[in-house]
Amino acid sequence: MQSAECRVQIAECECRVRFIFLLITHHSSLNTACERTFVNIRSQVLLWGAQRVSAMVLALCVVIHLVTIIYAVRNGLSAAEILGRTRGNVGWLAFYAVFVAVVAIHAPIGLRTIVAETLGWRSRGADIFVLAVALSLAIWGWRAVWAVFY
Amino acid sequence: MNNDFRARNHPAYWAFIVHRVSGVLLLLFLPLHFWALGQALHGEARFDGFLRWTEQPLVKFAETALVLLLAAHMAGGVRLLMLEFLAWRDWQRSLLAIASGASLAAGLAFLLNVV
Repeated sequence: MQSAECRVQIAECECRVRFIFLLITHHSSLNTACERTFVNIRSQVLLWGAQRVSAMVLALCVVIHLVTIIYAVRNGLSAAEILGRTRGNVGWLAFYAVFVAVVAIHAPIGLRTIVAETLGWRSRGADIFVLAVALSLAIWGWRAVWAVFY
Repeated sequence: MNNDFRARNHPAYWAFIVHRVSGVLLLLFLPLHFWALGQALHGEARFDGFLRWTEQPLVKFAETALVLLLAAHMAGGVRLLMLEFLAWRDWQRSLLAIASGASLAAGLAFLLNVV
């Protein structure tokens, strides 16, 4: 037997799903209604989805990363110990390459929301800035991954 | 104390603040982290030199804070995903406490290993 509060929560969830479906199916008419939106509605829904999917992958990556960190520092860090684990190891290369890629998707989308809601910066300039952050993170991160693999 | 603050002063609001602040701080830290790992491109000795610098107590303290931030952002994010994608159940009220506990446990485990 569901409580009244539970039924309200389920109704809210269903309402949210219907709203997202509406955004996807009616994005062109909503775009006309939202002239101040620089990224169209469909793209905003895609950004929302990318943020959530990347978060799911990141949760797994971060757990593995935290366990590795806590294990690795127990006798102090040394280059020999770190590089001994990562150099020539395709498994760690693939893991960290995916980790960086997902961070480069997740972090800039979060940053975009924060600069919009906290600083009120909603413009094409903000989107270009966030895209630049994403590309910098990806390139700079993959460079680091390569540094400990090569 | 105005009414706005009283309306916001509850655990879920503070979880929202922690999630945002930890996200921004982790994003600011990432370039430094990538730069540090990139030292390996200049040879093992240079990388080792940097790692020796990290053995200072203040750096270890900062690293512990970073581990805490990472764990808090991850646990808070998993809580949000569960609230958004799973059907509501009463036990989800405890997610905030579980997320806080898991973050503190990760921070403590790192601190105990690094000192």
